[in-house]
Amino acid sequence: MTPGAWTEAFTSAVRAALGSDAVDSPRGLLRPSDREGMRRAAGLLHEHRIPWRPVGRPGDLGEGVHLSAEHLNSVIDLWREDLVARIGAGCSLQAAQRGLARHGLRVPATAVHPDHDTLGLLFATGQRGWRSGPNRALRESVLGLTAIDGAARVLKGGGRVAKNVAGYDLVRLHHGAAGAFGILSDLVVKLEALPEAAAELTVAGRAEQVPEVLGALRAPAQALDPVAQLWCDPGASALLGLAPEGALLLQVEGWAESVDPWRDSISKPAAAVSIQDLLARLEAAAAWQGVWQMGSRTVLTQGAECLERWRQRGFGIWMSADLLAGGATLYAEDPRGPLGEALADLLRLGGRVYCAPGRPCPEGMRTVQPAEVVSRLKDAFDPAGLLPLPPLPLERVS
Amino acid sequence: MGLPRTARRELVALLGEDSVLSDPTHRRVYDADAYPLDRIAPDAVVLPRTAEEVAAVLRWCHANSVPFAPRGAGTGLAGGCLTLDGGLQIGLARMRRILEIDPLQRSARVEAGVVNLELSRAAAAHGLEYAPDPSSQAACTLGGNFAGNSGGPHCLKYGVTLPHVLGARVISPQGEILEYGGAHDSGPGVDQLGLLVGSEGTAGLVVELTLRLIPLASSRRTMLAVFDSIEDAARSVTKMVAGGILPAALELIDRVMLDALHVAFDMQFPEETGAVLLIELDGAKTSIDREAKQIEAICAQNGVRDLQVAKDEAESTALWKARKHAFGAVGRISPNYATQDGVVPRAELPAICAQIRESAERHDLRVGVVIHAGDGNLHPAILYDERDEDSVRRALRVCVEILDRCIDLGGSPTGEHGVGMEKREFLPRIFGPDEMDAQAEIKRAFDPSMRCNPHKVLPTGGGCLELRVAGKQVPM
Repeated sequence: MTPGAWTEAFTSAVRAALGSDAVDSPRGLLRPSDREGMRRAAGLLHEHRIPWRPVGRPGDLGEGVHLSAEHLNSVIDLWREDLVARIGAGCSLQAAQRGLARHGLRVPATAVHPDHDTLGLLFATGQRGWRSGPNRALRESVLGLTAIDGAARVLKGGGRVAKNVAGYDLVRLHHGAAGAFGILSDLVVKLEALPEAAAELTVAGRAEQVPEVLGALRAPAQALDPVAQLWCDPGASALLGLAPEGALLLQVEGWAESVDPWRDSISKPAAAVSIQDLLARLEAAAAWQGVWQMGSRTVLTQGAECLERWRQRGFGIWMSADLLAGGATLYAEDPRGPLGEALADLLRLGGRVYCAPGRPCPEGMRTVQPAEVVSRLKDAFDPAGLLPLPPLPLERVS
Repeated sequence: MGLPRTARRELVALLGEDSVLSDPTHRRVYDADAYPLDRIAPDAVVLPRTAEEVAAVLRWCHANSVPFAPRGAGTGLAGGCLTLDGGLQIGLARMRRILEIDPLQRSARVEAGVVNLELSRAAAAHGLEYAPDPSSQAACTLGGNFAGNSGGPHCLKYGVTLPHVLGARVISPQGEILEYGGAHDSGPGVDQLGLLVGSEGTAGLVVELTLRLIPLASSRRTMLAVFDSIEDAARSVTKMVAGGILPAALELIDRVMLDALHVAFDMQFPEETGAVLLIELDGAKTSIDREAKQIEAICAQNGVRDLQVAKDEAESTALWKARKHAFGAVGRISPNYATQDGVVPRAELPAICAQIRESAERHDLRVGVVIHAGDGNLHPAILYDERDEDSVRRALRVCVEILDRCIDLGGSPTGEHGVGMEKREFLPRIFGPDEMDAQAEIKRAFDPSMRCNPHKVLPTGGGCLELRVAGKQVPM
């Protein structure tokens, strides 16, 4: 089927359906004010066969047509006693946190750019933020959602209770799919109480020292397990001005009588930091950001040679260092040259590599074709093939 | 449907003589799980020992258009392993090896038939444990937990099965061996692993899992609060969690269950007791001290009659005994009981408790209830007598009324037991036609031939909670 294009007729149709304010023709942007407007917009895009891309809050838009959730940007319902809220998918994490903080609550999620990253974006792109362990990312905290799929069906998944196994999971369908199956209009999120106290510290440590350093830190700390345990390799450390051998970034939270002694017990070798600021600086310094998933331990125990090679070639990584594995991001100051070689190192170490949204596929790499299950899901939820493909892992071109 | 005439010979060739059960006596053993209201014997049972054997069986099923259903330990409470179209039941309980425990990575690689509690026992040697702990954890398998996205008392703080599954090896309905996830948390890309967890064995058969382990808590404290009414106890729960206290477990037991515990185990509670609340705190000792004080204050504000605090492990075990033995005790006060599984928003616990009491009185039945109160997940035990058809019918009505009320209050008809064959007809009460279509599309994406545990999860057009005991249909 030949895809349609944004025409005058389409402009007239969307203006009639959504109002003039909701249409930004030069930028190819539709900004409905509510869920019903979103459904109508998706319906018109489907009817006119115009390929489109869901966005949370438009920044630098690329080519094509974008349907934005930016006006669905508030806390819609708050069930204070249940610690649950329904929040518009276009609400930035920071705005949500500010609104909820008045009630002593927060969304259990972190983001490098909370002022810009919307809840819809964080969930749809499968970002876990920098806190580690179960129930500290949106994947586990989103109890329900409403999405509009490629055929303009309004589909609600999940509910507003923490335990719910009724039916196939339409919530999970959208996690990490980057809008391949539709646009999110709102999410029902399990909240947590704001901690009374928190501390963020950095401690110098080489890769092979990480387990030992973590163990030593836990011992005097009244068994407080940090909620964030990141490790920056020498390359990333150098970019941030941290210890040249590599640096652990730690965050603990809890009641004051637990956190304060913990901070005092390790204050000597450690320096106070803001993890979010450090990661934002790292992103700003890098020209290429990929997402690499693999067992952290594999890198720590088998990747020394690679780490050194990457450092010499101007790459840096930060990764979950809780030895539970987790996402890690490879940063390159120069996206050309040996990046493909570094990514090949990652694949060899057992990792999976994805291009971050909007980034070009590095030289010498290509995307793996979607699995049959994904293709069938795509056919079901985007029958006209108007929505983007989901993120696909990269492989080396042989 | 029956099996092809050559089925036994071909399956024996794939698995060996001792792994194929086809005579009526053996098949009868596999005609039910822990769902008491239905029995359907499979045409044959196979008991593979390896992933490759499972894959070979599923390729055989695919080639011969034979439907199949997986079975773990048979502890499921929704009839999820019954072969409604006939065909094969595939028992995975022989795949029970713990393949690796990696203390550094805090993960374990296990076969699907490993019993839940065995993993935590093995991990304890490394100072670790597997957090999801269904009440049947001494018997249920980790593969079954994966299929049902199982919970348990300690899931309030640590979450249900999903966040603890890092990776899985799954045999597709066509017999391919597929790997999902890995030794790391999920990230970008379609969350196929997330879709498979909780799909009740209808999208493929899990044969191996990589699971997250968590450190054993350095300190624990168990408390038992005795209340005159279940509503007072429920209100205390809401206040605790809303106040920022997240205990490891918050379990509520009502008077009927306490009566059963008294009859079965001679446990004594004051006569005025309406409910008891079992509270377990874990973590740093300073945090526990602080939270325990807050809990005492909240319970006092809500009319607590007595608050016991375990001084040591033995006392803690004694306090937990009431919760762990509650369902086992019910058999002493009733010939039969049906355990239900519903969820309400936590703040609605008093409302659902009132509904349970009202339904029980109206239908002249006794209903006990145990609640994972922090999650609003209730397990009413409806007491009835299978020999009395009217009693059965009334029990079913009570079940339906309770679950309907859970839905009306903003909850779900199942929090951790699954839909199986039991609750298929409740789904259209929650989801609209488009959403039901969408769920069917997810099923078809994984299982285009619709032979993988067919007629589960999605509605078939029957009534809510039908009953068929030994082939006898009892209409509502």
